[in-house]
Amino acid sequence: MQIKKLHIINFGKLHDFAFCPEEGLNLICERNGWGKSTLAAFIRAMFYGLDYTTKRSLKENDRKHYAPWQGGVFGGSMEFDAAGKEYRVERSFGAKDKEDRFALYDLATGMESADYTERLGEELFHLDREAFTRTFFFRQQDFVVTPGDSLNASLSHAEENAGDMGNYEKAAASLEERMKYFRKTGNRGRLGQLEEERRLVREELVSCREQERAAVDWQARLAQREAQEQALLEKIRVLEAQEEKARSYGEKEARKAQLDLLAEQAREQEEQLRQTAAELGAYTAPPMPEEELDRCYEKICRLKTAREQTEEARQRQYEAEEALAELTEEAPRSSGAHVPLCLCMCVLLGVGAVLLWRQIWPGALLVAVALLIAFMEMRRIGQARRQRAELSEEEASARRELKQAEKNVQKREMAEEALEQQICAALHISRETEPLERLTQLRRESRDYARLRQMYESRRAEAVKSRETYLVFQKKFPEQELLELQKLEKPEGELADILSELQACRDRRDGLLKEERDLQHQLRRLREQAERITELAEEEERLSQEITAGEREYGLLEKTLKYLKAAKEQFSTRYLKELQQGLEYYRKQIEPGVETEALLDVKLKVKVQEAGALRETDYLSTGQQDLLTIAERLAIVDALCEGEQPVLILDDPFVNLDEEKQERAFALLQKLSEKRQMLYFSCRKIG
Amino acid sequence: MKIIHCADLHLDSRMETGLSKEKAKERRLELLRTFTQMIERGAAEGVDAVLLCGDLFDARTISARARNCVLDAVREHPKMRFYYLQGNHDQNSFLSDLAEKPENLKTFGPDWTSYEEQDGVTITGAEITEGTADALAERLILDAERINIVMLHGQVTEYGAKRQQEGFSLRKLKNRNIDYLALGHIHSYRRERLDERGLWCYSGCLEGRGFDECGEKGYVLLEVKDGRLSSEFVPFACRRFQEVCVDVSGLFTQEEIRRAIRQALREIPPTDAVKIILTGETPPEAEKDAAAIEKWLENDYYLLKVKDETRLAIHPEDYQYDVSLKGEFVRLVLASRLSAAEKEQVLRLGIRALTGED
Repeated sequence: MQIKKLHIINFGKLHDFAFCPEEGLNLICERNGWGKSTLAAFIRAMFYGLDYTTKRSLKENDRKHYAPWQGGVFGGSMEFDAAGKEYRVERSFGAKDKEDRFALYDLATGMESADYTERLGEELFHLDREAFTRTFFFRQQDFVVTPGDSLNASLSHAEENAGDMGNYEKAAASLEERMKYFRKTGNRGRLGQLEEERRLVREELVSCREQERAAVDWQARLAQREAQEQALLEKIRVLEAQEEKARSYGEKEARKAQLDLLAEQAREQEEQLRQTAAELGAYTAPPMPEEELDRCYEKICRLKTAREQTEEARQRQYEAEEALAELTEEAPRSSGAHVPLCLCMCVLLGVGAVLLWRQIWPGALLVAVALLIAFMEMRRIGQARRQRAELSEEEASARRELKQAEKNVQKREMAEEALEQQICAALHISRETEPLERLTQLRRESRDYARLRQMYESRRAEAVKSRETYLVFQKKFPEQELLELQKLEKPEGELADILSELQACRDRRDGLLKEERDLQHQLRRLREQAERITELAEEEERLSQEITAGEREYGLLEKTLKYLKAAKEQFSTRYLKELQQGLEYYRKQIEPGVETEALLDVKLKVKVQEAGALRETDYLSTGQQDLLTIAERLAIVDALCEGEQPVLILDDPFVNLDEEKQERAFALLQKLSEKRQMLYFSCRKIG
Repeated sequence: MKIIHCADLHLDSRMETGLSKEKAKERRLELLRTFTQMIERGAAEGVDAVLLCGDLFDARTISARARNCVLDAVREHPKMRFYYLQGNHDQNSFLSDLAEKPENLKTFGPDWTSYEEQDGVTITGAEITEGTADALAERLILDAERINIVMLHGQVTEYGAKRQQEGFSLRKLKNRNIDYLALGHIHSYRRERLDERGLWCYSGCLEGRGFDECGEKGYVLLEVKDGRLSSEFVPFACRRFQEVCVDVSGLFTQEEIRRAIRQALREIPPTDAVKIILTGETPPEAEKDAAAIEKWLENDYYLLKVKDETRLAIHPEDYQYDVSLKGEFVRLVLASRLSAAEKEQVLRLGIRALTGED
């Protein structure tokens, strides 16, 4: 392939520029800033267009870098031959790749050609923009040699650029490192850690779910107990009702008995009242009142007193009469009473005189007694005289008294007569009847009546009271209850039996309630565990998602590494043989007499056979290393290009080489230009 | 008369959104709180009845907290009637644990149960079990003179479901004097006409629990006035789950991608949970790192996830003539039997590794 003509309308600093390259090596020597690099970039743009990127750096953004300084149409055209035909490609560029225009004309016909598309570079050389840039585009910066550095060092980038093989190790290491984050030997790493966490969470989840199932069983048991307890409660209520009935029967029975008793009492009282009333009715007239009887009695008493007084008066009259008679008889009997006493005194005196002679003291005593007697007799005689006088007076008095007594008797008898008449009239009796008996009879009658009357009153009050008590008691109960009381029947079963059964039921219920409480407690505990299911499930889900994501990431990294490894091996084996041959060819072209053998390894690293062993190029001289690098780069150019041989564009790559090296390099370029077109841009005169 | 129609609260539910343990717990509490707040708001607005159309709870085991929360809400509003129809998740745990059912808690059985309400409203419901849906529909007899609200839990289909415990045929419920078919089971609000007389409506869930329950969530407020029934969806969730697609085609740097994400998220409040889905085609070199984006925005939203669904901008023809290890690698991977997604992943990893980027 050869470029015939270049026409730049506007591209970077170049404006309306035309250039017609020759076959073979074309040297373009212009001053710095003329636009050599721009021209080289234009040629590449004609083949590959301009990449679109938002990168701001001019070095990385060609579209921005080469936008016309002066404005106007951004682009140009290029005429070239390929596969025996001549074409002209016209391209213009916009701000974005969508605004780019491409046209290809067949120069033989002048018509637009469809032999190639806008991917012209790829279709011609079977290389993409990057590969083209890396191989056929020898830019100055690719060969920059900084002071103290060697050309070899710069050129050695070529092999890396050719296949970015040097990046493989770093890329593979990076991928492996990231895989190790997920999995390390011994199930370590993030995934192992997560799996262990998930295992623990799952174990806990299983346990909680078991407890949830157990809670269901416990719930069923609790429901069963509750049903039993409810049944028992029902039975207890029935029994309580029976107990209540039995108890209330007793009370009602007592109440009924009380009511009946009160009714009976009221009836009895009323009956007695009726009887008493009948008894009272038997009296035609009420008997004499007691007061009157008392008065009669008083009169009888007075009559009795009057009789006694009359009798007393009579007695006194009699006594007066007697006393008078006695006084009359008593006067003569009193004169002869002194003789015995005088005799007695004389005896005593004589005896006393005798004894006085013989025995003074007894004699003296007897004399004293005799004297005493004499004294007493003397005194009595005096008294008798006084008594006679007194008797005379008494007799006169007795006579007066008798007279008075007789008068009294008369008076009393008259009063007695009057009283007797009054009493007989009052008691309706004759004189012959004993008034006291009559009075007693009347009094008895009066008392009986009064008692009957009192009894009547009392019974009437009692009957009223009894009836009231009955009615008051009856009013305490509603009519319904009274009806019930009337129909009261004895309940079935004895209270004691009911109570006993009730107690048994209550005991059983208490047992069930306790069991229920235990079950509820157990159920609460199980449910607390079961409530954790949600959180644990979430945690398990989160861990599973993280594990899945990690496994996916790990799998992707594994696959990436696998494909990267395969790509590396495929890439190496595809180009290695051709590169090896090319390397040998160019090496011998530059140094025909070289005897050592140079080999490329899979990493496109050049090694030299020296003293029976493959050695790094570092063992060679700098000159040899440089030439080896150039040979290798050219070999890569040959190896990579499967289609048309593209023009080799050299943007002053050897600017910093010394003269000897430059000569060697140019000699090689001269040699190569026999096979392909070359454009060499430089700011210095070469050759 | 005002009625709240809600369903699928899934109290005590597990959270499958990748929330941390603490946030999952917090979110479960939020579900309970939103339920309580809905009842309180209903009470304040004079709501007379609450229709709980199934899946009030999520699993067999109900926490004491969730059970008490519901019971307290019922007991603290004795004037409000709570119609609780069990769904496929409920498993009778709540009712079986009740020692004494509150008077204002009305329940349903496998056959139709009707409750007469004020303003001529009748609420009828049945819990669908396997094989009963069609027979149930045929047994539904409603008084045409009343306003009939029917509660069901399951998937509606036009002609019936393969598995009847999950669905019922709308065709069989037509022309049966239904004014409003209050449904549960589907977690998004949906309302459509049943027949000339009535509507069918899924209230959706009250709170989203994950990115499969995105968008507005809440309840439906029904009002019966002058013999007419009207309904209105009330968004009530305390936070939403949202998915936002961000096309990052042609964006290379983190800064460009972040700017695009910021732009896409500008109207989303920080209380929401957000899933960013990166779409478009990106070259392997693009500085696109889902983990870094998650880290960057993690404190800006309740929950932030980034899913990378971008396609790798690799075209086989670009590498046909690439004479390099990269070219060889790309050609080899593209020609492999890996799935398209795996190829993209492997290519992205390999190329980034070769260019020295992890």
